[in-house]
Amino acid sequence: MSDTTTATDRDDTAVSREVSLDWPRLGKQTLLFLVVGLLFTPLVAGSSYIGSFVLIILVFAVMISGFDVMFGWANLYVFCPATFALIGGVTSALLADTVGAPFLLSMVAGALLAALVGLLIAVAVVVIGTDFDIVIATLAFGEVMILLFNNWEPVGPTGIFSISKPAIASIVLESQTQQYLFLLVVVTLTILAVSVFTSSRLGTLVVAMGENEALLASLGYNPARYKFLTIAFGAFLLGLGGALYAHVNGIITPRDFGVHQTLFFVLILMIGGLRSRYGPLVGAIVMVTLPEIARTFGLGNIRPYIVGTFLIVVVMYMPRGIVGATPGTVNIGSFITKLKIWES
Amino acid sequence: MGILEVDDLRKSFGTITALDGVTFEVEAGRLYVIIGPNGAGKTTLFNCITGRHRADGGVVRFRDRDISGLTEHAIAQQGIRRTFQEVEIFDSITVGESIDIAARHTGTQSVLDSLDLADIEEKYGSDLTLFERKRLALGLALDGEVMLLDELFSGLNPDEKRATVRYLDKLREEKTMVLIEHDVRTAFELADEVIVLYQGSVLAMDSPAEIRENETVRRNYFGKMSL
Amino acid sequence: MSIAQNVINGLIQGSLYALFAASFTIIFGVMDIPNMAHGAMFAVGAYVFYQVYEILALPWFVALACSIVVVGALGAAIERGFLDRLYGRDDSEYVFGVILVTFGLGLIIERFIGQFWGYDNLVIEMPLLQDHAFLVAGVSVTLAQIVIILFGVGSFAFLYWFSNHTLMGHSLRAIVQDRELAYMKGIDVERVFLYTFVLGSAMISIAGVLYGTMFTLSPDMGFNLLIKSFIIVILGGIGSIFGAGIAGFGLGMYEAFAIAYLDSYYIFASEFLLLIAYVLLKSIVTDAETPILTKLLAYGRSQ
Repeated sequence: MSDTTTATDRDDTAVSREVSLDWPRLGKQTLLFLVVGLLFTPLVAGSSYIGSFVLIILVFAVMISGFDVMFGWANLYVFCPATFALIGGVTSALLADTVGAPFLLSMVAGALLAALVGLLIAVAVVVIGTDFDIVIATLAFGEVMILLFNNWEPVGPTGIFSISKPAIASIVLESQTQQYLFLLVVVTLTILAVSVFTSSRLGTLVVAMGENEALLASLGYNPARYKFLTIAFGAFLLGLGGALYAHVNGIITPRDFGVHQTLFFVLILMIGGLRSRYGPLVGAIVMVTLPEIARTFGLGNIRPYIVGTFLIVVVMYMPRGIVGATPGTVNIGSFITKLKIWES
Repeated sequence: MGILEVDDLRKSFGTITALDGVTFEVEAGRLYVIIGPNGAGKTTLFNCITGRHRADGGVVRFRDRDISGLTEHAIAQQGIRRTFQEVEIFDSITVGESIDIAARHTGTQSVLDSLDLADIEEKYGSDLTLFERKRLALGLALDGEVMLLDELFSGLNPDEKRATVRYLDKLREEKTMVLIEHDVRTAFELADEVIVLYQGSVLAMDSPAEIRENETVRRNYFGKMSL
Repeated sequence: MSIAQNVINGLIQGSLYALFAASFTIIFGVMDIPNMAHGAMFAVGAYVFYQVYEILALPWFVALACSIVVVGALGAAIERGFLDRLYGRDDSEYVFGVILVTFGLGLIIERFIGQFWGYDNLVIEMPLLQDHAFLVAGVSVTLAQIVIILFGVGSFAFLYWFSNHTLMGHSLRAIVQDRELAYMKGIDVERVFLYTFVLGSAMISIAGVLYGTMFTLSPDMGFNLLIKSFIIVILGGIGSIFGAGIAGFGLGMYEAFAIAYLDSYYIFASEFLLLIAYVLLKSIVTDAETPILTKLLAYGRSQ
């Protein structure tokens, strides 16, 4: 985390030293990521099958980055991330198709509404306090939202379908390749946003809060404030991802955003590595491609087996525990990201 | 009026009375040491002053302002800092980052330098030795005008204790410090005044020399007074 | 619908809930873990019974015995094979880890059931239970339904006897009260854990069989009940068998009467809302140290 801290600002007389962001380095990493992503374009253009699940991977990367902010960085056991995505997706779909709002506006509106609901959840999180109870309450909240959506006419149990494709102003992104490029930019910006958030002093405070709330309070900071900020930010990204999901997938069904999906998110995060900016993407790549590979080889739908096995394996073999985000935690994700030379 | 006043503070946990009417006053710029047997309520006293626990009765005043009902972070903002018996620091961020967030009025660099933490600035909390952790905890508390230090000397070897005394001597010129200590010898060396806490209330409060001669203290806190 | 009909329905539904919740809460209370595979094991009980009774055409008590043995063995395997290794971890890691592991196991088991028996709803034909009906207070009740109610109530009597009059039961209660103390008293906590898990598994298999005789079988038949059990167990008090019973029957009654006025969606939603309200209120009431408003007010350091 401190790899972006410069050691040049030593100023005895200053009020305090700012943890300044290493913008040049960040910029280089972002550009590199973008370029690598562009290199994969032919893969997407060549096969609509591959294209379809690559798009899903990118959408998941956005969603789970949001979840990582809440769960990985801030240690908040908010177990309704899928619900924020659902809210974002439904809002965007309805705005775009029934009201006729432009896509980008709908997408952002969806994300904002999710963030707003996030603030509500944050209040509950602050009031409740204990991890276990927060899990129960947020899980229950997730189920309530599904039931409400199931019972709400514009959505219903079968969900919304024939959702319009993403569009920039009047240009509709019809082809998978166009959507891929658009999503690539969104994912890049998401990772950038998360990096800025976590590398700043705000990020340090959030990590500190996640580790020891009471100690942070004894230093004069109100932990509640940081819970609000992280949950709102995380929910925004989840809502954004949900909106993207709705328009790229064409369909959004409430039932797909329940307990199973939340645990899938947790698994992706654990495999990709918590508190790692590329972790969500890596985890999504692993967990989406594996079942597809199996399917291609004629093994049928073994996704539950894969998810189930991974859940067990990841838990049993995490050496320093599950949300052990202290540096040096070994997990598949951090191992893979260590291979990436541009992130030392 | 003293910078910190505790007036008839009471706190019970179920049937156990931890604080039974604690009253004392702390003057700015002096160093106080609180001694007393285990269970006398010392840490509970700190917890009530800093807002970690809500007292059942009594008042805590800081700079003549009643801070009894405020939350922990609000009280910390007033200028009171503390360390903990269990040496609480942040494991998942570096020494430099920890001091950064703790030191708002004092410069980060000066804190790092005054506690010899500059060399280990990049080390994560989880990788520190006990003495480094204690120094970091001290550094976290440096931003306050009043520092409440709980068992700073426990677990340190003689060299480390000497070093810590040096740190405190440097700091005491600008800070008001209240220490809880079991190491009575070191306590008496450092203290401007000693507060003896016994069974939840102040048994005696005086200079170290006077405390040593104090009959009541000798009678009740027997055995610890052999110096 | 007459009141009597509603009451009977409430008793039937409540018995199922109570049975499911009781076995769930034993495990939860003693071992501190929510067994997310409980629903899957419920299904296994039903499917094994189906296989032995319907397909192999063996007598019902043989089928029932097979269910209990299979699910019990499965439980033992899960406990020894996986949960055992998680005991050393500290609190929230332990609970979190168990939730994920048992959920994963549940997924695997449910998928396996689906692959082996298919996803179509299966039916167990038991004319003896299903065709004989009695008239109780003007309501027609099948023997199957009466058996369920008897089992529901009976199993609580059994659990009462077990926890109060057997050595194992005493050990169980000691562990629920204070695990450290139980260790020090010389109780072989690990062994009790195993027995508890197997006991809970055996009970849930019976519940599965009963459910199967009354309703249809599907691989995910246990999932909704598992969710409801969570609600019941938390409202009734984790580890409290009595509480699970009261809350279970209470919920069954609530649903039986509410169905006349509300959609089943709303009923389900209201149960979750009740749970949320309970958790919130519990926190507000017990956290007397810091008033809520001061916790929420985000005045703090700038930035």
